[in-house]
Amino acid sequence: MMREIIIFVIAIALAPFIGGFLNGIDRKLTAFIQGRYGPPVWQPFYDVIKLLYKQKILVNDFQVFSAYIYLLTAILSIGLFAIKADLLMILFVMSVGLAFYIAGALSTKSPYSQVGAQRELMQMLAYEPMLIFFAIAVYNVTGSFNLGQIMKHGRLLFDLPLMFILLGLVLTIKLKKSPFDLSTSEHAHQELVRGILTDYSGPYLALIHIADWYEMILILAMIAILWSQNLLIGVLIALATFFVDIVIDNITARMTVKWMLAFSWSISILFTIINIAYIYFRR
Amino acid sequence: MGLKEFIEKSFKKSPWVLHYNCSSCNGCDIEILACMTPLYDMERFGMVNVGNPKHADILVVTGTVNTKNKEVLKNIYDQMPDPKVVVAVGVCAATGGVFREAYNVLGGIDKVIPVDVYVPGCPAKPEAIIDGLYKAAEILKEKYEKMGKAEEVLK
Amino acid sequence: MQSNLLLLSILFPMVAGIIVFFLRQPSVRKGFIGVSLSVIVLLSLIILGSLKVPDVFNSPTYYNGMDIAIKIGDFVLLLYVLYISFKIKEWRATFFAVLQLVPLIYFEFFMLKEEEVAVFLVDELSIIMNLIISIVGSLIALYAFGYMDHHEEEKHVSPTRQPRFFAIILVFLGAMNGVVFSNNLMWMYFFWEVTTLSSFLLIGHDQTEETIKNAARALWINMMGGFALLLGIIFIYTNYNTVSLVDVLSIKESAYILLPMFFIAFAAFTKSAQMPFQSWLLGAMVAPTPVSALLHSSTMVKAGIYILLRFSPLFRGTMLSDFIAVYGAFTFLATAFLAISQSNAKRILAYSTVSNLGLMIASIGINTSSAIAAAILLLIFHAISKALLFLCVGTIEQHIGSRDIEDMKGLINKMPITAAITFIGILTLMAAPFGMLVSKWLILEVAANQIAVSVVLAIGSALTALYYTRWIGNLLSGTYFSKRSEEHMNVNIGISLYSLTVLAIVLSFMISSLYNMLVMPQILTMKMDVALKAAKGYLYTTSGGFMIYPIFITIGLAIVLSLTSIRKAAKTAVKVSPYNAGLNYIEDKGFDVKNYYLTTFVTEETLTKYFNYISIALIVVILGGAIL
Repeated sequence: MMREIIIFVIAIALAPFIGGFLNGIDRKLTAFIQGRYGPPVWQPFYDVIKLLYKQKILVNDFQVFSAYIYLLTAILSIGLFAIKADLLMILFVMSVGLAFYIAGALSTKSPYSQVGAQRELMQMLAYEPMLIFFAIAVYNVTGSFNLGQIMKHGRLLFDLPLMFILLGLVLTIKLKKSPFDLSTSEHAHQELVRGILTDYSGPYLALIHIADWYEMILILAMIAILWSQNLLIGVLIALATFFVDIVIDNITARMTVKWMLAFSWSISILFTIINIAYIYFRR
Repeated sequence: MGLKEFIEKSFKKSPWVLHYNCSSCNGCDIEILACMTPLYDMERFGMVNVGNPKHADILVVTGTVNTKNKEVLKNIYDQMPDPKVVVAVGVCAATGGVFREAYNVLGGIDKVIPVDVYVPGCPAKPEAIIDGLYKAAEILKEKYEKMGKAEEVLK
Repeated sequence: MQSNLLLLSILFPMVAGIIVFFLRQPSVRKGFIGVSLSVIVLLSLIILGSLKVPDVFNSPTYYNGMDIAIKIGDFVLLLYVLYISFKIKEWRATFFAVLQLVPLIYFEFFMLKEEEVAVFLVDELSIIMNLIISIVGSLIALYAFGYMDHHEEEKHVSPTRQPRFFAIILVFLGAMNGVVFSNNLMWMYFFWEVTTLSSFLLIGHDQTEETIKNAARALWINMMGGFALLLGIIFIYTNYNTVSLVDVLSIKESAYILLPMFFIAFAAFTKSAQMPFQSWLLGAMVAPTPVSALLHSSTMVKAGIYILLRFSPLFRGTMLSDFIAVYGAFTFLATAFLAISQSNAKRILAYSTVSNLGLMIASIGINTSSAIAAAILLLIFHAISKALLFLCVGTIEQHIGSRDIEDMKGLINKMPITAAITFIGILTLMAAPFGMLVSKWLILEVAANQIAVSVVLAIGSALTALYYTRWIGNLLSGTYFSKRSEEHMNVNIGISLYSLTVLAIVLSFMISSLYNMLVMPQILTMKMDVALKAAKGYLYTTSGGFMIYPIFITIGLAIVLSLTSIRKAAKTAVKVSPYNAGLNYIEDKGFDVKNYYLTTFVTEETLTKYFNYISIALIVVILGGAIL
């Protein structure tokens, strides 16, 4: 019990640093691809710290609660992941925070944040089933949802190659990268201002940024356990996926919500079924 | 480096820029956009162009203020959280320029909101703009120090 | 003594209902109903406390009397349905009434050999159903005090039709208790038909053209279900020579059981308004809201689930069971799809009810011990949360004159209490530490072996989250500059809303003790190995576990942190209007952003058509599974 608590604390303390650092690398790399010099690698930390100490400006009380619960559930899901809890439960915890994050943006009456929130809902609709499919596929290989038992299977990647691709897709949608850069219009395309984030500001925006780092780490960790035999290799695979996502981000244009739904659903259902058929074929 | 210094440094290193075109002729605006291109790359200094006053630290205004858009300029300024800095880019934003005597023009933007940095030029050169923004970032840090209540906000 | 208690729980509401019908003085009537409701609740608690379950109650003195009364009741009821169907010219109802009457006469007079069977079969499932019926039902009836006064005032109903309304509600409560306690299948059939009839009468309560049309649809579809149930019973009798539930459940040799099981499942599908029968439940939303809450979400539609759960041991491990799982999962997904195109709150709730019933049916179809446990847990939590939400929508509708979720924008400022309760109600339906989601987690875990079912469930869950999240967003939208108003709530409505809210949260919090006390014994009664264990808010199987307390703590922490933050912010923060491109934001003026209803590719009519075809095909497949 004591050991688990320590792991829990270490994980939730470490995750934002890794997340922020990866975010910095993302920005640096994007700059490199675009032929720019780019910001320093720890730029995300400057941003978040600055936001934390800016003045609070609020539209209503509910958005404060939304920001906090989004952050806290993200922290909890990372913690649960670290102590090897139930995979499905972690996904459920994550989705609670997300629902509040969206509802908080919907509750401010700005048209920009409302449109952004609706798009974020569609994004959720696109990747939430994929994550559950992933859990189901993992169950079909390992016979368990418990991360402890899942990680006893050393090289899940060979059993779940297509689910790995799906997780990469989830990562792209989750990080709001092109071509799924819908809800916040992340890259200085400002037709939605900042979409779902428009009315979250100052310290509360910082909380949401930190929560996003946690969620990014969570998805990367899910990719990493595909090679749990040697977690170092797993981490390398996760990082490779992350870099591929950055490249995809820089070479694609934004698509529409409708395309995203059609694409992600057809791909995910097809891949899941083929992959699970493949698992039974391999036996 | 203590936490306090790091916070102060963060304000200098991460100024988010909001660009408002206050009925400008688009000359300065194109130069501001040029600052984001690989040649000038203002993200080197952590400057990011945001579209939302609620996220912004530096308000960059081009063009003259007229009776129609002074409300909007005021609203945007009011919606920015403290500390905040205003940069007037181009001679129109600074003084009203050649439009100064027009019947509907109030003059430079300092008639409506307090301006911290003036970047002259018609249009202003990207180098000058980036220099102005960098100055603005330093002023931002000073303003934060003046707010002097980092601990209070922290609590 | 104890069997008398059960008899009382059936007869007392019915007798009280008949008395209420003749009480014209409003205050006397309300007092009497209030007392009766508390007696009903008390009875259910006594039954919970005193009965050693599972138990079968044999041959008390009144068996013959009851049996004859029920036989006569059967015929009276069918003849009455015939009369109604002639009156409203609903020939399909006539058709099914005649179709029931003929076999019933043949069965009762020529086939059925009179022998005494046990009167009541009581196990934890019956107790759970009884508690839901009595407690949730009473709270809803209490709510109806306040609601119906307002309703009649609004519709200018004079003289008052409330005696009829409450009489039917009370009779219905008795009949539901009859369904869940009866051991004799013919008795169960009778009570089943009584619930159908009371549903018809209550849907048509307002006596407008539309209500009568929708009531007629509910009547004929449910009469079809009644016919299927009767056929199922007759088939069981021809093969096994018994109408006693206990004997049926102990049947070992199951060669001939699947066909009657198909008919019983069919009856359950109609009662639980599964695809393609969902149209009657949607039509039933024209009824006064307490009716929707009581009959069409928390109790009557659960009779279908109850009967399927009851017979589930008989088709465990068969192809029929697998097909039922697929069918239930399909209904879950299809109705969730239909729900996202809706903006009418009552229709959203109706679709989501059908959807959740489909989920329960899917998990009954999976038919492992954990799946059954999940179905029972879902049954409990869904009954409470859905009833609460329906009542909230009713209250909102009476205040703002609309049930459209777009009109509920900023409700938190107009009706702070109701909006907050609705918010909590939605949370208990869609967010993680609450019972509904724990049950959903369990279902996903047990369904993971069956790919078709689990893929469908995964998509359905995401859709569910979608239509509830945007509703929350609408409810709570507002700024510091919004006009606020106080809310004055009727006392009865207040009591019922508050108690249901507390019930929903407290039961979710105590899910492990609830499971250990009522659900796990039921699994044992059904002679299955218990795979799911629970202790201290931790539910676990061999393949995973769900801890609810960390999530509760997180939510609590978020509340504390945000409250302190808001309190601090009161001094330093600036209260601004939402970003509006620098223009002055004027409350309730100008633009309006509506939710995405995806109407470009989800139109209710066309989708319903295709979904109906698919579901009919699936029912045929189930039939195939029963025959083969």
